[in-house]
Amino acid sequence: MNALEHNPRSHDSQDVTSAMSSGPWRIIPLETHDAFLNMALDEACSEQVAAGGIATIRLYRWQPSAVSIGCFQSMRAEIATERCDALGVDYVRRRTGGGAVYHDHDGEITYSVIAPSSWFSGITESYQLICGWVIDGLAELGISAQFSPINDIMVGDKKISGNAQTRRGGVLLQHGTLLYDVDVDRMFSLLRVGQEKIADKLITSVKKRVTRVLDHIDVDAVSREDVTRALLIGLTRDKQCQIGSWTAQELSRAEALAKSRYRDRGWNFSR
Amino acid sequence: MGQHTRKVPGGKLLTVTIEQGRAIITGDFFLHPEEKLPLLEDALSTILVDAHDKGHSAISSDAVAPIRASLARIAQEENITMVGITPEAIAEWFVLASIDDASGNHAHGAAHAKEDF
Repeated sequence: MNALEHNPRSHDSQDVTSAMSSGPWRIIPLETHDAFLNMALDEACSEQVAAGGIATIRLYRWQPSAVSIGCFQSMRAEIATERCDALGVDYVRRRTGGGAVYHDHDGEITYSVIAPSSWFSGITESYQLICGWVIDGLAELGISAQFSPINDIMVGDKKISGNAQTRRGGVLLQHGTLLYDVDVDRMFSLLRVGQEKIADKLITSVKKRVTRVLDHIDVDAVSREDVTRALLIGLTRDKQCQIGSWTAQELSRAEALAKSRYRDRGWNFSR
Repeated sequence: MGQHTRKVPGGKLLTVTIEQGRAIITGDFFLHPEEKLPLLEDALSTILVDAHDKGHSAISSDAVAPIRASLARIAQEENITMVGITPEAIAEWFVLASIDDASGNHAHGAAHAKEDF
């Protein structure tokens, strides 16, 4: 167990390599939705897994671009919402903890892994396991990345992917972001910290700690589709997978959740 | 209002805010089950009420250890897992926020790195 993981009832850690990634898995290929439906689809899918449905791995983009915050963060403290409004950038509170993320439509790929919690061991171990799948995908592109506890993937000393996990109703949901070609200046202009002059030095420091897939590949030889394909290879390797799509029930439930929760100002500004 | 914000060493950003007699815990940490965070906030808020009733303007720094024990007990009873924060950190931040609240010095200019997910 990680030193910063406090659980008085935690069981002994298991070898990550022995953690189960049973199947079958449904794969939802890259799709694009707005922030609210993207988060609602994760929740609707979690509900169907809780009800005994198929575990799912999905890839998605966000249109319009959006900022998501962790469920324990303060929207007002973290996000320049007025600037988001002016730029047409959505903002949404996730059901997972973690930090604020800018989901640039053109510069980022998001993935979700949704499966029974019983397939995984401890929290730190499951982050390491699933992040390992993403690292395998990056390796397909010739990028050598490493897991960095608690929830990051690094290339050298720079972060290329952040991840967040929740376990509810016997279901593990981990979603993560892979920075592809994100506009880092724009990203930090939407985070409240970016507007604090006092933070100038800190922002420079943070920018230096972020890297993108684009910084590590030959853009003339490797397309965005290649990156998506590589990520999918990593996520699905050694698993029993089938390409699938949302059921009508999931879509209907997601539409309802998008309206009742993720578009709701009370939810988004609850902290 | 009183507030203390700082990254937990080796962990995540943690903010404890005291506003209108309530303690609010925010940050980029993880806590499972997520719905149980208000139990910790309620416990801290009760401590605030008790201190106020006793005429104390701030929580004594001597209280960090018993507050930590109280939070750890709730975590055990409710099977709460914290990732990136600890009961010790919450207790310490809470006392510092209380002192900040009592001081009336509410310039919270500290800037903090934002972390993806």
